[in-house]
Amino acid sequence: MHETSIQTIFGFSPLWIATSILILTYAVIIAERFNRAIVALLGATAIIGTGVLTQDQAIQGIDFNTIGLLTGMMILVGITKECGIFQFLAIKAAKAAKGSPWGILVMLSIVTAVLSALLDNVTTVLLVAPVTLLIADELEISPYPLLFAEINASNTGGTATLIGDPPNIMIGSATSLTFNDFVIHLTPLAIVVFSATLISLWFIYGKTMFASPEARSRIMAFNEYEAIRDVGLLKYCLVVFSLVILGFILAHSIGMEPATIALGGAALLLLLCTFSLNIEQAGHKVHTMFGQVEWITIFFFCGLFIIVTGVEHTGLLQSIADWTVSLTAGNFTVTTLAILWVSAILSSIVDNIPFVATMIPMIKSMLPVFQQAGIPLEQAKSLWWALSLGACLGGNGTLVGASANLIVAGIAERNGVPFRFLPFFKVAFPLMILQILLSTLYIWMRYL
Amino acid sequence: MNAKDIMIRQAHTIPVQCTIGEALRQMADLRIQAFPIVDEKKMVVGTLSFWQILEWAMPSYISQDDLSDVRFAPDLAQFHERLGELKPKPVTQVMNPQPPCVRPDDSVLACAVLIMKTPKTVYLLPVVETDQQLVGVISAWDIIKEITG
Repeated sequence: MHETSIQTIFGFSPLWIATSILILTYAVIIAERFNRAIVALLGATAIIGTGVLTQDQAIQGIDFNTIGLLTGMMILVGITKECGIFQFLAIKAAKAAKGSPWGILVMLSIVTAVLSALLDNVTTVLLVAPVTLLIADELEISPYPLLFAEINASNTGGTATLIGDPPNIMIGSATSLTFNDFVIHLTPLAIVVFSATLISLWFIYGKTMFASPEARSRIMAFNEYEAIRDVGLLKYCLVVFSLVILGFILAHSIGMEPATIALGGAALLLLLCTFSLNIEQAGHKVHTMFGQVEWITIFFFCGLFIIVTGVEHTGLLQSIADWTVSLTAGNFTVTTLAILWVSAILSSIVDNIPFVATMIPMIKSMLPVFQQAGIPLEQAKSLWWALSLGACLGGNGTLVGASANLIVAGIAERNGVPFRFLPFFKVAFPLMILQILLSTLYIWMRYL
Repeated sequence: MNAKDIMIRQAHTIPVQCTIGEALRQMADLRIQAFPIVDEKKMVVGTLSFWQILEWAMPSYISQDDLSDVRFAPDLAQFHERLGELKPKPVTQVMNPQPPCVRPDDSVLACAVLIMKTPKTVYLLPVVETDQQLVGVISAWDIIKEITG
């Protein structure tokens, strides 16, 4: 806990000021009336303006690792998507399933899950969903089950790695957990959850999915190699991505943080893409490629980090952490599972990023308490896995649970495929509960 | 130089009761990409271009640019199906009912600006009197000829 040096602000304690700003900011973000980046930045300005934090303290509160990793990956993905590899993989997957509708659902889900584990979920579904609509049209089947499965695959795949989903990026950055830790601890469960979801979807949709041999032959006539728009760029992207992933795996040994690796990879890819251009053309191209960064997300994170740091400085999060531990009577098992379930339920309803940003300092405060109570550090780390699983898989619960869900729904609705909250909820929420039950079992058996 | 100086007076038109299939046939036979749609009094009620028919026949995720490159698909059954469904329908279903039109005294520059601003949909500009009576058409070619002297 870092007590702020100012005792009162306008007659109020900094704790109340910071708490009020946090609640007000989160309420306005949830209401979705204003852009979330603007709201978070205004909240951050209020934290500094009221004197809860100095500007220096606020800047220190912005986690460069998260911001750098997100920015680097956004640039990498923004460039890579131009070469057509996403469409290539989607069509290759459909052909590998020999045009069978259920096989295509499984294969497109695998492609979506793997891409989402390594890249950002929104870009993945943004590029895979339109190809899915075309495949479904050619097969003369409803695209809904395919798109539904892709949403689940995207969120589940994102759970599997440190770079898969923003909550994991934040957790990895705030702790000493490495890329390999996430792979060792979360990927096995993500595979189980993914498989269980597919089995469930077979009973819900798969049994009735059918396409005529003629329709299947249309899919087999697709030439996936024609989807590759720029072979040279594809080669560069594959080389740089391989280096970046290798860098993530070796990060701990080579003493580099993921943000440095991602930004270094982005710079290398930018260099390769502009190497043969003159300085003016290169400048224009780099400008366009930097434009691929989702600045709304980046500024949203900056604002949130400052607000949460402000609240943390006043000692509020420490108090809540102490209160939570006392509420569970210091029972580590109950606390871990409570974090898992509360994260899942909340993340299915509201944006999981502010929630995780708030939970991280709270869990950091809880760790010493549990270690003093004799819980080994390795076991205590399961609190992070519980937070990650809840926050990431929770996004599967409702249509508003994750950005990828809304992107798919938007594309579907725009193309005449109804994708409404309630029908989605009726299938997705029980599936999410199943996924969290599996996570509970996993955490119970492995860590508790 | 004004619109009336460069317009084609004997313009090919399509009657409002015509089907899309017939319009397509005329486009192919006359090698014209767009027509004014006129009623029995030769009043302009819209324009129909090949681009508009394509947009209707294409799946929306292609026409709306969710999927901008379909080189991997040698053919799309749904495109032919949609086109087949469109052909017996009246041109009024697809035509632009409020096309940009010019008056005979409008300048060539004004015509060029109209074409520049709506390049996707405007292959021709109907030249009409105030009561929408068609007096001629101006195509992009007519403007190019005028510009190049």
